[in-house]
Amino acid sequence: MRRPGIVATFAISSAAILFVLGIAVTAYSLMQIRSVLYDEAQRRVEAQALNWIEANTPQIVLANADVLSRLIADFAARERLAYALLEDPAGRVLAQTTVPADLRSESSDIVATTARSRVYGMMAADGVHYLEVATPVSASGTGMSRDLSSMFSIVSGGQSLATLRVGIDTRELEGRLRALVWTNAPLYSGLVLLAVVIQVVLMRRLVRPIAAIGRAARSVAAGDLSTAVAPGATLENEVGELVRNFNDMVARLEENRTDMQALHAGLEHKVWERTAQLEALNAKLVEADRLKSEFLSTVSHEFRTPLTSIKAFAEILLDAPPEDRQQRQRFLGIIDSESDRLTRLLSDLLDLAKIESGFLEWRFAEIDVREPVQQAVAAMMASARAKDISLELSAPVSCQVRVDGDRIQQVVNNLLSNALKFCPEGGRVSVSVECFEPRGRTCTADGSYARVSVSDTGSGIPQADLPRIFDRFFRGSNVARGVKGTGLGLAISREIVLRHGGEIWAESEPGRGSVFRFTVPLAAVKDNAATANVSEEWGHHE
Amino acid sequence: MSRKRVLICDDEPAICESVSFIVDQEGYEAVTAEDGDEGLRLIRTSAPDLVLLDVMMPGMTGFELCREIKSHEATRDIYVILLTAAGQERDRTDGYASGADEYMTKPFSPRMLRQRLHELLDGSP
Repeated sequence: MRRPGIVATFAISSAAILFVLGIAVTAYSLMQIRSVLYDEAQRRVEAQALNWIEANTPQIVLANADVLSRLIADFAARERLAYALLEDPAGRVLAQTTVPADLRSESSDIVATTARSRVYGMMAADGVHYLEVATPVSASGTGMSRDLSSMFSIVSGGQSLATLRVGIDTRELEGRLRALVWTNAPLYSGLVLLAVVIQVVLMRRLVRPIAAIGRAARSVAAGDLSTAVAPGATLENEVGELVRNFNDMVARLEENRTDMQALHAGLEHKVWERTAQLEALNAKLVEADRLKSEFLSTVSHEFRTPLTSIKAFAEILLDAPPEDRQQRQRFLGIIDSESDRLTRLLSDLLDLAKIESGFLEWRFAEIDVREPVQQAVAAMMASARAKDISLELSAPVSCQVRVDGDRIQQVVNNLLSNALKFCPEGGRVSVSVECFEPRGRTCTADGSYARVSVSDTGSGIPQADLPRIFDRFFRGSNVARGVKGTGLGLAISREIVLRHGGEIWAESEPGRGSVFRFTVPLAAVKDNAATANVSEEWGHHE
Repeated sequence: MSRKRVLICDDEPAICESVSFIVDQEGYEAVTAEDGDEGLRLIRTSAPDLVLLDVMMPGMTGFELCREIKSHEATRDIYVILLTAAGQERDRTDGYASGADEYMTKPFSPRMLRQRLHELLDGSP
């Protein structure tokens, strides 16, 4: 059986308490009332007795039994007494009404004593209790005033002539008491009930919010953070405060949860982002790894190719040399030039490796960019003349730059040797140096640069190859047979230019030759602006 | 009896020259081509008995040329040796996948080549 709720428990205990209290109060009250009733009865009877005595003292003195009997009977009847008897000091009955059989006192104790009488509790044979008031008849009862009476009694010795004993049936009193109880009990019960009902109503008003909190707590625990307790929210007492605090708490939990969700979403997004980053990075690494493998494969091929010729011809010369001396010399020549090729390859590869890994020692200085260009052109003059190619340089303006002069010369050298290689006999290779300080639009990071261009009248480069020509070992799809380049020259040139903060690119139309250009930023010199070439020519940028 | 014919196809002229010298020294006829297209044309026109193919050539690679040779009735019986400078395992398997009969890495030894030529073309070392 489910345990009763707060309200029921309270109602039951409240009713029990009130009931017990009621009984106690009632019992006490009844005691008091009985006492009063008895008291009142005593006094009334005593007063009546005294009156009778006063009125009839002469008769008593005369001791006329018949008269006295009649008088006493009237008295008893009139006053509705249970019995009355008059007895002399010796105990002999002078007159009496019908006295219950076997009347004797309940105890030797006097129940009460008034001014003139003594009250005894009496019991008869049939078990009925009587309250007896025994009033002495004294000589002083002659109608005189009390004071005089007492004076008289003192004078006469105050002797008692007789005692009037009057009995009241206590059943009457008890009956009156019972009637009282029976009339009050329903009233009292009704009041108790009313009190309990009022309390229950009040209790329910208090308990309702608490029960609501209980239900709300369960639903919050189940995850619903939108619950709010309505009953009792406006109460001004502790319960109201509990309800409001509960609602606040739930609201704060909801806020927390929203924050947590936002945080979680934020974190998830971060994780997603980071994962995407890592995946991209991983893809790059995988690609880099692949490129490395490819590179190693290509390098291996590049080394083995000249070695193949060297080994083949060396072994031929050892085992079965041709009889023709010229042919022998030719073979030796091939061994020699292939060895040179290997050396160049090694050297270029090392250069590239050094530049890329940052191990190369750069020697930057502020110079006129025309110097290394002029030196490279001078060095190539002989080869150009040998192929009947005209080599021209146009560099009217001085351009101060901060560069490693040797490396820039290496770049120009590389571009020139390529140009001469791919230019047919009788063709033309032109080199130009220009200084740019464009107003407004920016070409390089700091907006001003020197540009070197090498153009040839060769067969040009196909559009498809243009983006790849600076890749390592790229030789192009229509490269001339047996061209002994290492395939690394442009790659090295690009690295050098990039390290200077410049750009390098090529422009070409198949059949109309090509132009290779590279830029280096101008040194920040204050007074150079005036002499700069302010042409707004824009080159193609990759 | 006509001489056995050997075709060498490589984009490096020096290698073509060294191999054709060896082939000639051993008494066979040497035919050279410097790219895959020319090689294919010469195979069809001169019907060599043995072909030495460089793998890394611009245009048609040695693998592709080999597959071409082996997929045609007329040329299927030609003995194909692939020459390669990249010595990776994958190239070897690719080589055999394309139907080559043999695989040689560069640099090769002329002595070894001479011996192999005799084994394959004369039927005896």
